[in-house]
Amino acid sequence: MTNVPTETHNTGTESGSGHGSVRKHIISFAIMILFTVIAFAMVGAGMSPTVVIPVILALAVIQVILQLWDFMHLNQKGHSFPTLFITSGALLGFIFVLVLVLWP
Amino acid sequence: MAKPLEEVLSHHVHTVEAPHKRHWLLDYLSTVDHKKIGIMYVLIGVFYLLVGGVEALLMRIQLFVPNNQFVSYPTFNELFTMHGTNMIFFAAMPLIFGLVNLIMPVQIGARDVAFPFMNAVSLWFTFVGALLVNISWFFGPAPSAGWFAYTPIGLDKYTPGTGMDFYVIGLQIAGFGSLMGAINFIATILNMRAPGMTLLRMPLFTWTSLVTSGLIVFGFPPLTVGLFLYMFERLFGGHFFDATMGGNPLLWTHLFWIFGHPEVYIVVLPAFGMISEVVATFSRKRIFGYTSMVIATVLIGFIGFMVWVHHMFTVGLGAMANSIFAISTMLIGIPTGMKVFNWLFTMWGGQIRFKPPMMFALGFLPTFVIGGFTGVMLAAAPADFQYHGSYFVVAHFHYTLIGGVVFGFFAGLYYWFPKITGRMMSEVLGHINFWLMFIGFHLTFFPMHLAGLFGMPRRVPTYNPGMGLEIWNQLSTIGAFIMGVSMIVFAANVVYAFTKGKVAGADPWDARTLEWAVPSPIPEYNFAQTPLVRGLDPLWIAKEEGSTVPAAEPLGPIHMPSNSFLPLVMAVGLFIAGFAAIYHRLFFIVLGLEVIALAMFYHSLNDDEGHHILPEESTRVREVRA
Ligand code: HEM
Ligand SMILES: [Cu+2]
Repeated sequence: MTNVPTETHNTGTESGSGHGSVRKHIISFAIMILFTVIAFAMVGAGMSPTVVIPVILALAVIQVILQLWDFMHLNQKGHSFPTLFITSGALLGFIFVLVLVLWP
Repeated sequence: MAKPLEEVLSHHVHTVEAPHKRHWLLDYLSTVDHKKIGIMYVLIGVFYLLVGGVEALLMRIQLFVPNNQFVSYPTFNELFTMHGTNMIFFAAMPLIFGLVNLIMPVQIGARDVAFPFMNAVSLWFTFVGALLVNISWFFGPAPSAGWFAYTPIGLDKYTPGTGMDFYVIGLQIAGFGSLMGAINFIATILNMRAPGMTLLRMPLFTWTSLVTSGLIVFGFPPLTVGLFLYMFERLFGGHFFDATMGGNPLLWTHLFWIFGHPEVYIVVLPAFGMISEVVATFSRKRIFGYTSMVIATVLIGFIGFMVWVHHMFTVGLGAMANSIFAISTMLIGIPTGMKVFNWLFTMWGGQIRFKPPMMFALGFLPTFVIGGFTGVMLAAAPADFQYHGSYFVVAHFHYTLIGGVVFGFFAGLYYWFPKITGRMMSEVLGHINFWLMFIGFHLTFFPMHLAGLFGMPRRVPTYNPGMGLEIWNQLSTIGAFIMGVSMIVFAANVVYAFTKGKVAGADPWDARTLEWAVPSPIPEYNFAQTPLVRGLDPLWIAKEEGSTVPAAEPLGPIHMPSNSFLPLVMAVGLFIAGFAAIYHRLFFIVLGLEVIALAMFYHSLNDDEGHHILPEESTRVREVRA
């Protein structure tokens, strides 16, 4: 491994076959678009907030998981640093929100 | 491993020629070299250190005698706001980013940071962000709601005029720069270490750079979000923080301190790293308890996120919140104490040489420890009701920020100056610089503890006579001017180094880490051959064997990225857009954003291969033979 700055060269190194299939990416991308459409449609249709808010939150949670899993490569081996960073970020975010909810 | 020369050449024949020589100014404006970027960061930091210093001196003149009319009261608010903002965001941060840029890649045996282009973008964003905040002086009132911009006082209703708008937009832009810089440093440290440089062989300055970058990545987004809401509130009529419109002013306070407390560790951790390098070198000993130093750094980084409510003890969150955060705050003292003892044990039994960098490190230790003591006092929530909002707090954070960051930075600067410029500074002037600064500092800030305990609130433009506050304020003002003189001595020392300074060899301090294995000043490509690392302190290991650091690759062509003006262009675009947003000029907002978009578009489509430095280049051959 040479340690030359390879900014202009590193396009392409990430798209190798080791990073999951294009099919899977397209499927989860489609799901995300679908979720977004559902969220907008529910608000647009004027449904009651008691229904809309929990459903949108649920959709959001699923989207986040899909994002992390499929697009941030958390489902793959050999990504220990990104995984470490994302989990500690999530932990900190959880603490911030918890405190903001408890003591606003 | 490097490819054979012929193979590389056959692929890149068209890019092999050396880049044509540019005028030095154009070269700096378009550079992507981490060393030149680092130098510009340091220059920005020193400039705003002086600006903030002048603001401080003006405040100290105003407070010299009771009921003084030297500056008007609104101007005093602007002075302390701009002083704090400049010192934290535009002095401390660029100084840190500058030294990390200059030294960290060389310490790990890399030839540049992971993303040289983005590095330049970070620099220019920081530059225009700082510029935007500071030109507010010329466009109506400067920001005046404190560096923490508490709501509701900072909202349009209570602080009209464009001052706080400059603060919000300028900090947002500089914040983008910091975030990108931190991501760059993390990628560099994790991916670009020389062969053999395992995580637990990294110098402590590199370790603290890594943890600080992590803190930026997690700490700046809350500020980004907060400033975003603030921008909507002030510029576009939103109501996130205005209680009279159903908003919550505490939301900003939380968001600010969720960022703000990690921020104080962002600036102090690299200073800890510099102290570690200096103490080890000038005690001629391996750092004591290396692994525990690493653990302490990571722990400080982690606990640093759990304590922000200690800035909010008096807002009324209740006994439960205050107790939890009081305890978490006191916990931070433990890893910090570990570090202090490790520095002491490193010196114990070492052959200490009292050179200027070591003097600053020695001045750092007791000063920072006093700041830590008062910090633990403040962390006792019931007692903090007495200290809060008083000069005692001002004394505390200057002991940590000047005693920690500024002394640490001066230690680092005196240490690495020969490496960066190739010249030695004067030792005599260095000692004068240190003693003036040390004495001036304690004379300025120790009396503030007492002024605070005797009832002087902070952020007040004056005080009444006959309350026993005169003497402490007068001592402080005298001390502040002594510190001012110490900065002049420092400037004189820089001039001395460039005119009469001895030429520094590669290793003037008999040091231990990789940056001292390359020539001073560091050549463009850092290492003619990537070094092979065989343990902590690779250069020391080599010196003990009476040899040099071994190479991990044969001499071959070195791939270098090309210069580009695009980072500067993008920053100018952002500056135009930000400035226009403050004055609600939609056309120019769009224009500025357009400039950025086009620049990014061009950069993505423009397939720039960079160029190669060939081994035949006479300087490299000479250097390798030497
Ligand atoms: C042992 C470590 C530390 C402890 C326990 C501690 C504790 C505290 C507490 C409780 C306060 C709030 C006081 C109040 O407003 O009533 C405070 C304020 C402050 N501390 Fe520290 N601190 C520590 C280290 C540091 C360090 C390392 C820095 C900077 C490098 C720092 C910078 C500040 C600043 C800037 C403020 C004032 C913020 C403002 O209101 O403008 N502290 N500290
Ligand atoms: Cu704090």
